[in-house]
Amino acid sequence: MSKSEKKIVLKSLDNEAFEVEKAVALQSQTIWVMCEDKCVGNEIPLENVTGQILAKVIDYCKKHAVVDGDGDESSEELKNWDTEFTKNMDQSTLFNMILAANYLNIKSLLNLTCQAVADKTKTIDEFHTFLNIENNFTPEEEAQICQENLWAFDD
Amino acid sequence: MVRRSLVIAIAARKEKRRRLKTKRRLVRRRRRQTVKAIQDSENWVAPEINQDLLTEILARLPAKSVMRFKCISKFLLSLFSSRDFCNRFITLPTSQSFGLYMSLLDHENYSKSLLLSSAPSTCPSSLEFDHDLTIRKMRGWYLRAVRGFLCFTVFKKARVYNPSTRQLVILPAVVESNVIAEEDVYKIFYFICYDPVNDQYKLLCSITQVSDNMLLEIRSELWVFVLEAGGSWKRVAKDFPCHLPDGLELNMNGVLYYLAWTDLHTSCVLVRFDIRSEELDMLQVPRKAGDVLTRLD
Repeated sequence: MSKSEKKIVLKSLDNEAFEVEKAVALQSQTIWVMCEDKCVGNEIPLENVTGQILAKVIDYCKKHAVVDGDGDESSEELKNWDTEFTKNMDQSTLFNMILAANYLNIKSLLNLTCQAVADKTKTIDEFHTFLNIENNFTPEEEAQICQENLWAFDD
Repeated sequence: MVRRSLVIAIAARKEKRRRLKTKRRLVRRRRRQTVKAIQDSENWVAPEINQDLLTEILARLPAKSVMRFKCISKFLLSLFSSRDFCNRFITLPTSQSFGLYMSLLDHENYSKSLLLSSAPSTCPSSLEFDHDLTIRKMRGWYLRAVRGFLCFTVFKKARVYNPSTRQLVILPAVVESNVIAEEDVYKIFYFICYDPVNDQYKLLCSITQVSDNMLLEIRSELWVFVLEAGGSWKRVAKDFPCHLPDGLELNMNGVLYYLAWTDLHTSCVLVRFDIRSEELDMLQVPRKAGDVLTRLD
């Protein structure tokens, strides 16, 4: 296999191009299917992902790629890396990562980012800031449902 | 004329929808403003995400948070109660709802018996247990667990408990049983099991009477209860050989296995209950020469 075949170019929504190893990019099932079907050349346009997010996704994929001879990282180490990776992301980045992981179909990244949002959603206030869901209960209904699950409110 | 009034009606509906939309947009905008105030990062608006992704996120919350967030909206209340959500919640590898449960029984005084659960954060090998005070006076016999449900027996009736929602359901007695009607002393066992094909939970009840004459006759009945609204006990496998279950069971791939005795000294069998079709069969447990079987009391 020649060198050029091993590399792949991913192009973001805002036309930023990233050249990555094939093994890194193929962690995305979406890209894998595209390559398998040979429906794309060496350059893959990703119309739902911005350059800023794509750079992060590639970071993640590079870390998790199993490349011959250098996939020896212990699972413990990877886990710590994952924690650090999402720790300082703000909400908007996290959500865009979820959307990108979903679009690119990278299961482990979707799992990681969804878990990170869930971990940051502890109180009802936090819930409202994270997720855009309208409250359509009357105050009485709301009070009744809270009453039924009162145990869940004490710490 | 008809068409015209229809057009007017459609126009009126459109207008109403438009007005509703602006209203909603206003509400949303107001929410966004408050949200913005809380946020450090500017211009942050939670994007609209589809229900699948929302389920992916919410199924990773601890059970307690799920119960708490029920009062946020009607949509969430129905989402959290849906089978899809519950199945996702229970099948996630990160699910924190699985703890280790242990029941301690005081044979002298059942009201002193306890249900203990391992703290969710601790690793099971460290064996740190909390009193699960959520279910006082549990007095349970034969604690069995399937997919987050606990099943135990109190005064010969089965109880099913969901530790995540803290709901307890007491099932009715098997009133139509001939053994119960005719005998004073009998043994009753309940097995909870799950059918992954129909996504149903079932209870298998075995009622056994062992005659105390020299012949050591066993008489038994099997009943099934489907855990759903309006469920009731139904007699199954009327011609199945009589047997007395041992306490040991295994739930696997839609099949429930349990050890049983067809007579009290020699014949130990493995009973196989197909949860979906409710069919049973049994096979002899292989034995080596010199095997000693523990005698049942």
